[in-house]
Amino acid sequence: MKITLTILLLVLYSSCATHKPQVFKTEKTEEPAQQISGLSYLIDEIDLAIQRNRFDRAAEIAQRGLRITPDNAVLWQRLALVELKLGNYAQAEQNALRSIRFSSENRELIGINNHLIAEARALSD
Amino acid sequence: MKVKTIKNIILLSVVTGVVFFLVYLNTLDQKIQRLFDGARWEVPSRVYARPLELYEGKSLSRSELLTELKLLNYRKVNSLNTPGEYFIDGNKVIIFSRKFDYPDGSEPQQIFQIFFEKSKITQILNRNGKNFKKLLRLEPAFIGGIYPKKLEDRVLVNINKVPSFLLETLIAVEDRKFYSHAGVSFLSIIRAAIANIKAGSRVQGGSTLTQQLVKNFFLSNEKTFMRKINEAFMAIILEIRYAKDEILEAYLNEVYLGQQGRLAIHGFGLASYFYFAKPLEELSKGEIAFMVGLVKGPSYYDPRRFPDRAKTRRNIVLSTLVEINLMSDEEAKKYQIQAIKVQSKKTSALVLYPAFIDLVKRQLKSNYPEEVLKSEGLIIYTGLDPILQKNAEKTLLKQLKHLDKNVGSIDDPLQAAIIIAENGTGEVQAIVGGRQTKSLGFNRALDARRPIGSLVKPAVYLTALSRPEEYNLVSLIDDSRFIYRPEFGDEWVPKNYDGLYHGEVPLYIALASSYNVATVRLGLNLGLENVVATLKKLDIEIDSEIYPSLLLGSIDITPLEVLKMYHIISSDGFDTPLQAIRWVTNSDGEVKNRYPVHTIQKLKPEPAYLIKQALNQVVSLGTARKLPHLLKSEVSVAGKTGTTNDLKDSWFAGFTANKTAVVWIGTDQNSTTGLTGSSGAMRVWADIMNQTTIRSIDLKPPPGIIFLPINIENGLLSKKNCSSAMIIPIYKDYSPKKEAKCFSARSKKNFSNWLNR
Repeated sequence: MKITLTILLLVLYSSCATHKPQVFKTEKTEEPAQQISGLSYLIDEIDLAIQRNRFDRAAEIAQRGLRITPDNAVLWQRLALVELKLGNYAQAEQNALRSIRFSSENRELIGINNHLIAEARALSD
Repeated sequence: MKVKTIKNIILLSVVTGVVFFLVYLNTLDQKIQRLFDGARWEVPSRVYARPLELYEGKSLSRSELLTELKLLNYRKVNSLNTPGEYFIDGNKVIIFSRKFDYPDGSEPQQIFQIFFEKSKITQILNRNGKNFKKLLRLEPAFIGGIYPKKLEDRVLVNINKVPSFLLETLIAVEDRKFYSHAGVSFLSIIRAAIANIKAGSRVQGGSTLTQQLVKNFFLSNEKTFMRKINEAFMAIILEIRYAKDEILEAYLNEVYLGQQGRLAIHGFGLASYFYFAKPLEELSKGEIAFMVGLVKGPSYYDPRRFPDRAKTRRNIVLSTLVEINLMSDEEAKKYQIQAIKVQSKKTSALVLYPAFIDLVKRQLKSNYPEEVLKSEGLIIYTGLDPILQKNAEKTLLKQLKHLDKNVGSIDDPLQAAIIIAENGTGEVQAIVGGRQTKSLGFNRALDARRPIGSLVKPAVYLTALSRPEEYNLVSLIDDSRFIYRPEFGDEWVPKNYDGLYHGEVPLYIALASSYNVATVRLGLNLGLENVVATLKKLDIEIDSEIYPSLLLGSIDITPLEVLKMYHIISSDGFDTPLQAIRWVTNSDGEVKNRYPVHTIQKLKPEPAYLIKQALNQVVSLGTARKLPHLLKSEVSVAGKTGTTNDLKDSWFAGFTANKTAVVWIGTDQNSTTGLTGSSGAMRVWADIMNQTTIRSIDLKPPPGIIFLPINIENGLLSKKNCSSAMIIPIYKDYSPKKEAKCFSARSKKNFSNWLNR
């Protein structure tokens, strides 16, 4: 009986002691942003326009995408790339920084953006 | 001699006459060339909303889609035949969309089925039941024009794009010999004269289309012999100088076809929208016959006022088409029994959203003088979201009506302003400039300069959080009585809204609870000039002399400027200039100006993140803590309430992951409203957000921030399990290394006290 009571008290104490008021949240409380049908097609269109050196066109499509999903890290990265190709190095860097902010745990995308920032800085010197 | 003199006089007279005649013809020719070769009309600029993007997963209710379709003048039908139609089948809406060109790409006309569940699009299929690979969208809605003084409106049409049936009908009814005469048809004049004599009144006109164009385009309406002579010669010159199709195209665009209030409707292009709310290419043959019949007398045959006359006239036109074998008798009869279904009387407003168009005009000012905007037929594509705009207007009016009962005075009624932007792109999506949403008086969203009260406080705390060596979110700030003693002038004793002092409080609590004394003390410690520098980073320029009262918001700025400030905070410290416009094109669709997304990092990621967290606390436990209960969905939002002295201004500036919005309520004569930021503006804010898609703010920390348990009493590192510890986001490089003892009765007590204050 004593042992049971001790265990119960310990459990109660430990649960009280570890249950901190989590005042500051770290993540979104809702489900992650939904997949947007047609977005991958849009990104393919951007890539195709970049391949064909149609950078203005690529920028227009990327901006259409950003109007639909403004916190999309891939779209900001593509826009950074387009600005780099157009010789707008400062804007390329800023867009890449923005992409990093939205990249979350996507190490690969962060790496691409860091590389792009380095390139933009080197070219603008 | 006498005979010779007479001959000479006659010769001289003839030569003089010929010279005068040639000079006369030359004058007419010059006039024609000057007017016809240059810009022929003052064509108003036309302003369009954003096109509605459609994709699976999009938050859009069926009723919102129907609102958009109504705005686009789509017709509800039972079976789809032509573009611009839709039908509803339970939770599915099937649309036959219109083809349209947009500066970033064209969209074909197509049929698609949209399935809804709750307030979301769950599926979009084509007519064969297959998914679309591409994103779909509907054409942008027309939201207003920028009109010339001479209130004329027209949508220019290109003759090659005009339905051939319209051209054939027009020529058949108005001028059958158009392609063979030289501007004037003497046979027509004689035929008309005989008919008029027989009838005893003017029943038939003998003017060709060219003469009608000359009369409308170059001459006045006066009925004089000289005007008739001028008309005939000018018609002939016009025919010599210009091709038949060019003349016909000018006629199609010039002809007067109706009146909307003070605005004259010219040309078939605009008349098609004015009467049938659809483009020319969507008109039925019966509708075309009606429009051609209207040329004879737009007022007399006005289908809204005189439907019988209009129908009779249309049927005469249809009979004429049968006579000349342009239509079978059977087909004509089919149309003749139909009523003319014109759209209901258009709203008398020439501009649907004047406060928004006002911003558009101001943003265009640097590139386009007012005169150009009023005359060159520019097309302006904007980011306005008509659904959000309508909801904002409706909500504001409803809430003000409710608030009027408690606080409004008739002499100085409550007024308000709302301005909403999309985060990321910085597009302004909706503006309400006051209670009179359909007429532009004083645009409070852009021009009302008011003290912003506590809305300024995030700039003070941001300045502190930018000094990680001195401050973090739980740094203790003194909220005890404080007297400011300037070198010159009177003492100032700032007071809290509740009239109490709260001792030492954690920084985030001081902001969340909007403690004035703590804020003033903090701001003065930081240095007023440093707070002003932070405000500058947030796009707020202070030109006047600065006083400590600045720390409590005694600066007069507009809702638009407040939006700029909070938009930078909501965008993690990135400034993306607020824009109403996407593109400006000429009437042929050629892009003249782009307004692309430009972004620049104004705040370091770490302080930007920490202030966002602190503003989230304002909503969780501070002055805006009622907000989560007002919101229908469980989303995490951030914001700040603002109330000025004597409750004269009620402010709320807040943001979600995708929207930043500012609401102001006050009066034009600066009377007391009886409202705080949370009892007035915040309720309007919540109501608007409840009617649009909002997502939780992103609180994932940037790499320079970590979450650590900190002893809230002394700011030292703490064991996670300690009751005095709070897990807070803090600069990685400036986190405390020394660990505090676990238990402290005082800190535990203090913590619960702070939360309960």
